Amino acid sequence: MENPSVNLGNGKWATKSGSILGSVVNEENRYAAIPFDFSRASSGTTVNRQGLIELVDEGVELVVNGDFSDGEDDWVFSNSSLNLSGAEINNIGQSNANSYISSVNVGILGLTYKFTYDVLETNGKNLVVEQASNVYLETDTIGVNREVVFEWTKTSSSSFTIKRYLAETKVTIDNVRLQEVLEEYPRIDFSEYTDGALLLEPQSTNILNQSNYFEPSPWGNYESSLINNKYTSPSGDMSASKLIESNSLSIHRLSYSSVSITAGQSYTLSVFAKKESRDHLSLTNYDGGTDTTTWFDLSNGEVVGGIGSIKPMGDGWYRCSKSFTAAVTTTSNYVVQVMIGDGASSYYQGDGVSGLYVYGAQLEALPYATSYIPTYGSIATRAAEMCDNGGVVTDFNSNEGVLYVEASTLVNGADCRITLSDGTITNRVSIEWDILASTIKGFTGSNGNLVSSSYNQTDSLKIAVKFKEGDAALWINGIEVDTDTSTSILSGINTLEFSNYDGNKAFEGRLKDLRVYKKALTDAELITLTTL
Amino acid sequence: MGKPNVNLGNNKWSTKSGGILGYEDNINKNVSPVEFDFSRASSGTTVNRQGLIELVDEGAELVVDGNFLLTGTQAASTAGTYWTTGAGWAISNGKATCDGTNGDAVQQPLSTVNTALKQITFTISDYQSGKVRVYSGGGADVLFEVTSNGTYTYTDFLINNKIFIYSIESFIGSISNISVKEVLEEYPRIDFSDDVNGALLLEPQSTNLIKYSEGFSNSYWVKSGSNVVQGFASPDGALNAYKLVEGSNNGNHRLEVSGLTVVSSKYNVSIYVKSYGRDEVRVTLANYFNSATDVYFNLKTKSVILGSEAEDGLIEVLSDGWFRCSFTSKSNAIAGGNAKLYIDTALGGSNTYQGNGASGVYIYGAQLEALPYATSYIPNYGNASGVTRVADTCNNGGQVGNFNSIEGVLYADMAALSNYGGLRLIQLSDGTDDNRVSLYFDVSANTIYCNVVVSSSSNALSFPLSDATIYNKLAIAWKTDRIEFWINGIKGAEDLVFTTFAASTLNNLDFSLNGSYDFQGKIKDLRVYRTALTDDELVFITRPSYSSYESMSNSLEYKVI
Repeated sequence: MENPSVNLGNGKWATKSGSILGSVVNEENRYAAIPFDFSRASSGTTVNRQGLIELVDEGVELVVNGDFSDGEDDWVFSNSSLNLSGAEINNIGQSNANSYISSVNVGILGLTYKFTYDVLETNGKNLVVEQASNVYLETDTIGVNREVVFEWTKTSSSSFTIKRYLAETKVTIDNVRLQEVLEEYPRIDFSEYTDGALLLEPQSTNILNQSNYFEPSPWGNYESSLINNKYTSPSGDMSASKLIESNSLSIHRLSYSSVSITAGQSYTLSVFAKKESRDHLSLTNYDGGTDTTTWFDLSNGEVVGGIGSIKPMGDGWYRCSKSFTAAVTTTSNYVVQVMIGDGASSYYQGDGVSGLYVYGAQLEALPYATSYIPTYGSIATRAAEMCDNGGVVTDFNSNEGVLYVEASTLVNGADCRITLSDGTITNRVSIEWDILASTIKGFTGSNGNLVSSSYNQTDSLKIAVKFKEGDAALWINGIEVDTDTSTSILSGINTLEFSNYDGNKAFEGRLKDLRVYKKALTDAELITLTTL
Repeated sequence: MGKPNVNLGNNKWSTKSGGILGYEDNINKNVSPVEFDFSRASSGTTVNRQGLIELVDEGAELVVDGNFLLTGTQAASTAGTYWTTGAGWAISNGKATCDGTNGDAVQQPLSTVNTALKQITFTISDYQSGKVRVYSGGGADVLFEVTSNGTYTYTDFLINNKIFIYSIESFIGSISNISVKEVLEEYPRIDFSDDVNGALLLEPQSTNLIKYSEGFSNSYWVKSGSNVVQGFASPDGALNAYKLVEGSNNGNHRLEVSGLTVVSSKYNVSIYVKSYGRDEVRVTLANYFNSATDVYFNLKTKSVILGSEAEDGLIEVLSDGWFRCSFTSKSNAIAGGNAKLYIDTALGGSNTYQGNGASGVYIYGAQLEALPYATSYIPNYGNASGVTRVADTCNNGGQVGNFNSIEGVLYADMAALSNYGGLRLIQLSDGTDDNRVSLYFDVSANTIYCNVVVSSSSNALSFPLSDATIYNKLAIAWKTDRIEFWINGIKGAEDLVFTTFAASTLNNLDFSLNGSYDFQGKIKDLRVYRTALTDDELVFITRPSYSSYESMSNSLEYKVI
């Protein structure tokens, strides 16, 4: 079989802001670039090759000696000193004197950065990050061994200073990081496939404005307590928390206050959890009328009661989720409830020490969970993604060829397409994951409709549409599921889009492999290509 | 697809004085030469395959027994041997050693007597005290002085045609591996600064106005809140870089040159810099330049902050931690004789700070030239008027038998030096302007043209490039009723009404329009095909390709996941 004239994925992934790199291998086994345009007007997270959740859009580290491994080099210390492995900011007993550390000037005016530091010790007083006099952002330091993360927009040409906010402050911080928040980076997701997949999702908002710092308000504990941000999380850092039951006969709950829901709207609640001395978790939603609960077994990775989903995340972590539809429009403290279970019930005699680990709660107005959207004090939205404009006219042969993908969608009934075209319906070749569940379609030109209704779209499917005048076929997982001999010859095909020819019906799912061939492959070749 | 009938480059480079060798892989699998004439009436530097700056024009060794190993040929104070040793000098164990006696020399007349520029190299070892002073024969022609161990390379004229190593200030130490080579001209330069396969570098004339471009210890460079220390590995591989060390004062830490004579022109200033405790330098053109030409270069973040009267700030990455920092004055200088250049270490975006008396940067190769972009480094070892590298020209490749006039393809993988300048051509012609296939950078920025002229009738096509200063793969295909202009795998323009050349018309391949509008740029690969090639073949040759997905990703600045 000849080499495809366009290939994206198949274990070869390279991205940059606004683009993902496809390729073609020529007859001398040299690679040529076929870039696709990519857009997403926000940051986004994915599960990387190591199985860890990461923000794909972090720029290079700008802070020099942010871990203080070179002592005070590249910093100015005032009423501060090196302590533990970091810097202690301390004005206790100094008549409210200022105390701070100041970095060399980094960053570019107007750009937004992810600012992070770790709290090693604290007396509970807050710090501020100051850019110039009276231009500052207050940051809390509650809880030791935790990471403080916030977005910071450089509004002054001065260097930044981390200083005491009020008197009697004594806080030791470490690992000061400042990275530009870059947008438009495509996400390669390894959560389901070891070779990775291009993840394309719709817009979604995490309605919970404090997704991973579970105390104090708006999170609240009932017959439970927390050790916040002290354990290894699915992102690989020390940002997971432990939810501990009380020693009462009761439910042991973590809930989020004053969540508003709209009648008729679908929602999905998700949280990452890992067993400790307890291995059962339940998620409960008040939909405005009743509570619905789903129970999860964190030892065996199973949903053991109710309707929901549990996905392994590595290192014993699972992402547990359940969906519900709001019965009425209301605001309640019980829309989001996370409870520990003893295996038999969520109402049991606690021992005051047992519990489980939690991380990354998300409530979004979709009937399924999308990738984690971290929030740090306000709701956050991940914008919709679009991938298009792959290839040029010489990469395709309009007269005949094959469009092939290995992909899955986010929901069964996704109503989305991948299309080869000249921007018109007359000259297009599309694969469609239909709005009807389990239905896959192929289109060649304005006719040439091919269809099968036997494949769950959320499964990874190998799909090929062969196109040629009077000879079109749809192949799925090694089987020719439909043919059409009425197809016309196409012309002028010049682009490959993750949507319909007109930009609608954007693909939403995971794409492992995409190929275009300049020849209509033989049946034997198509069997080889599409067999799982 | 057949092989090209003329090929220059494509990782196959051979040069000699006045010529560069193209080739044809013929059907019998033999290789035939296709020679081009080359000229440049001066020396020139390039970045060699090892990433080091080198003078391309080294001639034969003029010193005999430079390593003092030919037994029986040396005798103290004896004329007629290879080396003559004065009082206090002794030769043994492969070196000449001085015991601290002042005022005498080890010397040798050169085997070739002429006024050509020479490159002098030697090694000082066992240094204890004093100075070695190098003359070209005595009198006032002091070339340079050395006060520490190391290997030193200098270029200068040996006006008395001797190499004369003189001891002063009680020099105790040894000298060895003495080399003097004539600096030859007319050698084409193959530049590996931005491609491992190299590129033919063709530049316009330019003059480095900095009198001591490497000699920062000379009083020509005024130190203020700073000092310099010599003897560190430079981008040319020798120990001729300096360390610019900040003082312990709270203020500027500066090197300054004044008295520079400038004309009404934009100027580019460049200097090689490497971190030594400090990662920032500020470079400023002052007096006779509009104010605020101060530019901060941060070697760690690779960022440049331009003053309002500066433009085109650039940090080029070299090997071994070195960078070349450069910028251009936004406005023309005011003609006059006292322009100034400041080079300051900086911290936190400021050139005024509390120094620690120890930190600084390594520096090498300062250059000020009356061009709006930096050209290759032109060493200057003391010429107050500046040292000039003359323009390169390369023409007269091939003959009528190498070309098929009726149809063919002219292909080049090339980059412009800048977006400034007039037309810069590569051309296949009959030696006149009337019949030609021309490929050229236009005066308009980032615009490439092709023009197929048959019997004085022009057929011009143009195409905008995203960046003319990066390598672009370009091809002009012509045959009856077809001219196509391909750019980086895409057919950018075509003309389907075309009367082609008569047979045997085209007979010459030039990097100019028959001697004018010289090409200025870099060419990795130049080819002429005898057939017009198919679309797929033109995609194949003009689309950038790479040996692996990873190398492609890295080259295109994608992050491999």
